[in-house]
Amino acid sequence: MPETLTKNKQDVPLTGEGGNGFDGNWGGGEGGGDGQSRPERYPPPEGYRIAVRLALISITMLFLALTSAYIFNRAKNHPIIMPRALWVSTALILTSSITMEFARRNLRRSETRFRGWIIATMLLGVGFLIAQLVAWRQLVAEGFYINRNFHSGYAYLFTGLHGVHLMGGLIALGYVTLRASEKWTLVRRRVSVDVTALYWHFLDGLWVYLLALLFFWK
Amino acid sequence: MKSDYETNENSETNEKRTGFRLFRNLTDHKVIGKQYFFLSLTAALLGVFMSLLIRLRQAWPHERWPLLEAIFPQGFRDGLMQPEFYLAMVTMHGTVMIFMVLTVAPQSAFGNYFLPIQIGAREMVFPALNMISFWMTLLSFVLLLSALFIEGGGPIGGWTFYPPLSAVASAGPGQGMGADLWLLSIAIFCLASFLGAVNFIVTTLRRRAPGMFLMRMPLTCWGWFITALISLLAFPVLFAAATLLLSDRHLQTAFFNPGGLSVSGTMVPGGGGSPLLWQHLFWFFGHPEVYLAILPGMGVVSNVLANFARKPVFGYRIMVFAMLAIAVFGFLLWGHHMFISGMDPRIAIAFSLLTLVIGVPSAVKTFNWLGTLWGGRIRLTTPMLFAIGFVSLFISGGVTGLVLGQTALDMVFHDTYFVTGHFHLIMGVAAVFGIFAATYYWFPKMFGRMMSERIGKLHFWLTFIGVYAIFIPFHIMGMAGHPRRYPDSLQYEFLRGLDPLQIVITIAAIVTAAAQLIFLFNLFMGLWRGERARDNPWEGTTLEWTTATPPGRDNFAGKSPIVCREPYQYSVPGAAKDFLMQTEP
Amino acid sequence: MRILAIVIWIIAVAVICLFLSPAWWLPTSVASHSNAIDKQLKITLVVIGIGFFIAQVALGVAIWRSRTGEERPVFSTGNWRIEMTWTLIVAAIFIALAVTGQRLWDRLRLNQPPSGAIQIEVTGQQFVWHFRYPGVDGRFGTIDPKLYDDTDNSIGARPGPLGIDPRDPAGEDDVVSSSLVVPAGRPVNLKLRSKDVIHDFFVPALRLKHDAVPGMIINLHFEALKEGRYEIACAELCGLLHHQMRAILDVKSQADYESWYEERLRNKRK
Repeated sequence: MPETLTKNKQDVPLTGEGGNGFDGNWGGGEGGGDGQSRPERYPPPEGYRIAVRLALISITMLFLALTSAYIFNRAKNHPIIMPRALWVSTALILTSSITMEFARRNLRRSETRFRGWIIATMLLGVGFLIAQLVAWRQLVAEGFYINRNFHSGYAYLFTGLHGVHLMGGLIALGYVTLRASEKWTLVRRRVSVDVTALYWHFLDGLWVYLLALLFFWK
Repeated sequence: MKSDYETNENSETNEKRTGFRLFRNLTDHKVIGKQYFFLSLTAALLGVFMSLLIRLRQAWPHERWPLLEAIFPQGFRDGLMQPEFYLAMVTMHGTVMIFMVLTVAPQSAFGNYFLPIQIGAREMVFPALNMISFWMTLLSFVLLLSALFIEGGGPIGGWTFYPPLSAVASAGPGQGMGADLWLLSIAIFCLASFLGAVNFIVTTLRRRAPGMFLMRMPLTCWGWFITALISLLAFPVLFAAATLLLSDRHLQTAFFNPGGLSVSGTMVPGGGGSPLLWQHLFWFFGHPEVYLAILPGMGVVSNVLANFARKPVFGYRIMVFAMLAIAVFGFLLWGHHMFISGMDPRIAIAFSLLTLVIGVPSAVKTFNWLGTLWGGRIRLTTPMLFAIGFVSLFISGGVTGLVLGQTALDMVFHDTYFVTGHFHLIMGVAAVFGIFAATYYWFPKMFGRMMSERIGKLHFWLTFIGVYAIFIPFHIMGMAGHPRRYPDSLQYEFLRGLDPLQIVITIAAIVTAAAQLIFLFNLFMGLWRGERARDNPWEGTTLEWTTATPPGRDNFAGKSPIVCREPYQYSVPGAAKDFLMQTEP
Repeated sequence: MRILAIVIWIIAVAVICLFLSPAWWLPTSVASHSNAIDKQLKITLVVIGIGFFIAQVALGVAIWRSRTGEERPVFSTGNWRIEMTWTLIVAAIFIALAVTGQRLWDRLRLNQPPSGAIQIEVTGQQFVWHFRYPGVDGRFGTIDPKLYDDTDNSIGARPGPLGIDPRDPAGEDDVVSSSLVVPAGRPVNLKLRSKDVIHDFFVPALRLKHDAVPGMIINLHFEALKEGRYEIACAELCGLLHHQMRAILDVKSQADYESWYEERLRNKRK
């Protein structure tokens, strides 16, 4: 079965600590999909799941730290305009979450559909970044440089850091799509897409939060 | 279905053919652990050298040092050590020691090497990421040191880097490019630590061998695991602070700039910000950082004490909960660095109470170590000496925390050598003794050879007495009111009487530093000519002593260990031997 | 083996002796609150000294009593009762220390200075302290950072290094001094300021210390009881000459203070 991990012949009593199928047995752990036991050259699937959640915790701490700085500096009391491009970029990123979900759910059903939705997500992501850059230009055009006041300063920093993380997400998406399925087992593929989707949704949620913090909290 | 063994052999042959052996080696957690070990060793030597320069200026401020001037022409004029050089040494000594030694050695070096082995895993979950983490740390170190060699010299703001001094390039020498390199180095270090933390946490949660329940892990593993959790939460905050400061320095923002600043006769543009913001962010990271530095050492000490007292750790569960309590409370105390910073004095009260509360789990751990020793049959090997030394030094350094944690008393001691004495005893000595204990204890396993016990004991005695001789007098100087970060105190009459103490400290420091050469000698002699080590020279019970020496590529020769016991089964009543390994049914 | 225990005991005793002898390590204390601080410090040192001593002695005893030869060690994995006991004892002591310390802190930082307090503004800059008195009108002239003029250090300097706005009449009679002159026995309220980076105003003899933060005006009050000259140092790294930022606190009798003040005011008008 492509999705089950082959168990080691020298079975040892399971203790339940291994989580989804990885229970301390080595060898064949990952490569089970094609019937061959492969040495464990890749991290186990649920390792990725935990790792991504840990990364999300760290990223949250980063943005929480900056949020408390934002509050400490009383940035919201300073004026700013909301560039219109942000409506576009928000729409793009929200849509990209939807396409991301479609991609994730189509992974098992149809490779072409999966690729289609992933590419759509990537395009929307790139579109988001472009819209963000346009928004920056709109801010500059209105005289809101990064050092105009705290509100604009944090706006650039927050959106900049968010954008950098999103670029990382784009790279992950590209990697997940481009690594053809013959190199990866289906399980690994599914987990990779799952965690990339989680990361992507998180960035989407983070964006909504930043939008609210920067432009709707008066 | 092919068995494990066949699979592995096939893969070996494949790899030899495709030539990926170098990559395999560089992603091996044991190799990475050793790389971190030697990185922190280099950093420690540099840090000690810097501390000696600091001591020279303190003891003999008028003295000329032609030899040093030859090495550092910018830092000395006519042989006299310049204040900017002294302050750059102070800054770099702190930064190098705290980041490159105390964060790297206990966690990244020994943790990377032994966490997977002690939980029965073959490798970390993300070996490639682990490798990237090391090279990023190395890059960070190189960038940090390069700050000393560029025009303007190294930054002079102390490792705490408070703005506006660190935000305005004209506020002092070295505060230009030197400060930028420092910030860049720290930002990269934050990223590297994050990657390392992810590896440690996922591996601990997912790669434990069958039977290795969490509450059967050795306390070393708990130390590394909890430290990784702290890292995950604390380093992003430092990264945020560094980002804001770099922005203030180069993008003309004013997050830390209150406005109206006149530096060297020139008005600094911008305003509205607060210097206190940096302190809040920095110390929110900075305080958990010191627990990061000590927790792995606490774990090592527990292991070593149990091993050489031939007794289980007293109160294993409490030890785990105490470490967790220290980690959690550690995030709530940052304000005790800011009692007289301009922060609202009422908030100071809360921080003070919490600070004294965290003394409780620390004290409990100390009592439990005493309980571990009590009634034991002690073998005074070198690692045991250092572990006992750790306990003694932890007591000494810890009790003065009760003085500094009180707000009103902090008014007397803030920014004096009393603080310096306190944190050196805890970090600069106790944590380092933890590193020494770990080195002596695990050297046989890591390198397959024994270090000399006799030389090791000499190293211990000289160092143990030496560090007391160095750092107890610091408290005296602090009580006299000697402020920190003074290149000299020649201007002040109230400090005049302390000159003899400065000299005593400096001589003790020189002797103790020289004693570390003995350690180096022992280390390298051991590497080259040490007697071959058996698999379990100390008769320990934890999993690393079941492997080959040094362990093979996948640690356990193809078969996952099955863990049947708790980690400290020494002198079990009714057992034939005086220790039972974790794998014994 | 037993040598280790002995060495630990010797170190413990040596440290205690070192701390016991230094009645003179602490500088003389001349403020009204100094004695309370010193007392709290001594109590704390005694408490931690006892704890330190007991712990180090216990460590030595544990080593001394090590079993030898074939004696089996005690197989003990812990003891809940002992754990609870020592945890509670330690917690009680620590909390008691924290709470008693707070009353002192209230006095120093949370209470308002008495209403008759002399107001003196203390401004730190790289690398010198300035002290400004409000003059006869009791009001400080406004400060404009754009007017800072470090070249003019005369007594009646306006704007001078403090940037006192010449257009503000309240600043006409401000007296700027390079030493902090106060009368003994009267409450003084300091207003700490900084022109450039964070400094820290530290008077060891008063047991007084607080950061001077740019952008903030921080109130710090004290009452000096004994006449004399005492040193002021900077206690927050502020740059290259941080260690040379010295000033003098000159505590005079009420009469001497008044005549000093009068003379300063007269000299300004010349």
